[in-house]
Amino acid sequence: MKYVFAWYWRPAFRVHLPGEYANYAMIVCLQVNGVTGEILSYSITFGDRITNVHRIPFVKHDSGELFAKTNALRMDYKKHLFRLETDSLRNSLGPVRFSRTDFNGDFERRWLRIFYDWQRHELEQVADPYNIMLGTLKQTLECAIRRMNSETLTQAL
Amino acid sequence: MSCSGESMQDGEAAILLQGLRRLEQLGISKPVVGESLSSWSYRINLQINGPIFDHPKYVSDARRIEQSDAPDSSGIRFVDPDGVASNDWVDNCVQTLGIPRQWFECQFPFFERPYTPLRYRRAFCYQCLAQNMQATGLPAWKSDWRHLAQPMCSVHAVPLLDAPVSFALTLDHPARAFTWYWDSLHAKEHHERICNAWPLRNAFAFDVQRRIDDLREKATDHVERAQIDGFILSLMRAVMMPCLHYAFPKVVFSDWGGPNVYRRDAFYLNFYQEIYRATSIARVGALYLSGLLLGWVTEEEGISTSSEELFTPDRAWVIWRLMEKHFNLLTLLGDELRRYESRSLNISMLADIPRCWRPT
Repeated sequence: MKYVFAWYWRPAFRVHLPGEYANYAMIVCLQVNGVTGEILSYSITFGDRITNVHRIPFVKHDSGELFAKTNALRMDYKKHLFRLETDSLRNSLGPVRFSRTDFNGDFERRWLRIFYDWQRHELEQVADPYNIMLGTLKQTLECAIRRMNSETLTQAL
Repeated sequence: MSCSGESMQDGEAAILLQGLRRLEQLGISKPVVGESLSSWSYRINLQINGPIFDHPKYVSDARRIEQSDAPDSSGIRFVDPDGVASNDWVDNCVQTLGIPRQWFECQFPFFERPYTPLRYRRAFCYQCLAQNMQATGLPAWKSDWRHLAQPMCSVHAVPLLDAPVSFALTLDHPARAFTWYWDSLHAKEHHERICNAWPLRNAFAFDVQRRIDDLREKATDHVERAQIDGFILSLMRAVMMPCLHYAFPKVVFSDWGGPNVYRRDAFYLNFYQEIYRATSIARVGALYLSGLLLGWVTEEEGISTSSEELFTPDRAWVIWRLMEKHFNLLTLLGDELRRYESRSLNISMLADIPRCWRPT
């Protein structure tokens, strides 16, 4: 049995796509091998669907007795609203109360430290760290993953 | 060991001399002491009648790092105009002019210490520029000015002045900075304000800077030197975090590089990246504060500067207490410092070590 965990992370910077005037927030998903701690792959999602969750409007208006039972059955969105904070790694994007693994603070700190300390290693020049381009983001991610994996490997040895 | 070191130095000196002779034969002016590669190449290209090589077209825009859908590490190639290895025109120069390549490598060694990215290459010492102007007719840019832990001119002991960020990527940035100093309405005033904001603390910061240089010289190998650099850099980064901004004079924030304001939640970005675009006077302040943390600036010295700005911390424990309030900062700093500990510089040498770091 193999365990692969997904860590969702919202970086503090925005991505600037060439040819567009807008900047985008994104969520990076890291696929981590649960046994060895190796990062297997990553994916980048644009647009933050978590913040787009709203209450359905008619719930507010139909608060009469007729709908009481329906409302009772309806899920309370407020309870399950979930905001992915910047620079904290979460186990899932959905409204999940309990995660299967403990929150791994050590992993998070190591990852963020390795990712953001760009200049120490391969990628020396990031022009504007607050608005970076997609290609640069990919490169930084690849470099950071490579570094992280080599560090985990040496730690394991 | 020392014998091989000496012979190495002799070899380097021989190469340097050989290169200089070749330059004299060609009638090309030789680089000023400590001049950067880009500055020298621009100067000689102006002096030669028919340019021997095209102007090195390094970066038109530093944002444009090569992109591809299948990125690999070898694809990352950023041409720094101050590095010999990454510039193709050096090869042309070697072939057409017959200047040995080793000369380039000895004369323009690539940065061994942490340095400002090209985009923020803007700190300069006006007096040095003016002296070169008198000597050679063109201002020359020194590569030392890009070192992060050297925010003061090592010759004139004044804090470096920051030219506008827009000059950083241009070919003729030394000349632009020189004219900017005279043309702009506020450059001279700004320079005076920088020098007079914290005269005593600037002096202490200069002491710290020289002490770092001494430590680096005493270090046995380049690994230890890198450890020292990393240690100092981490301290400077921590001290420049927003929670300590109140400790700096107001001038520091007037010409911060880049349009983006601080974001409160961008903790790691603030820690790692802000030092690159900060003004050099900000780095001077950071050096002073890290001098306090290291105990290199003693309590009495710290208190004696209180006339300059009352609310700036003058003792190490004041800073530590503040960091303890922002606990993630203390944790991150601890991680970083432990990574860079070496024989000559380690956590046990800090003044008033915070309680959670003390050995039990």
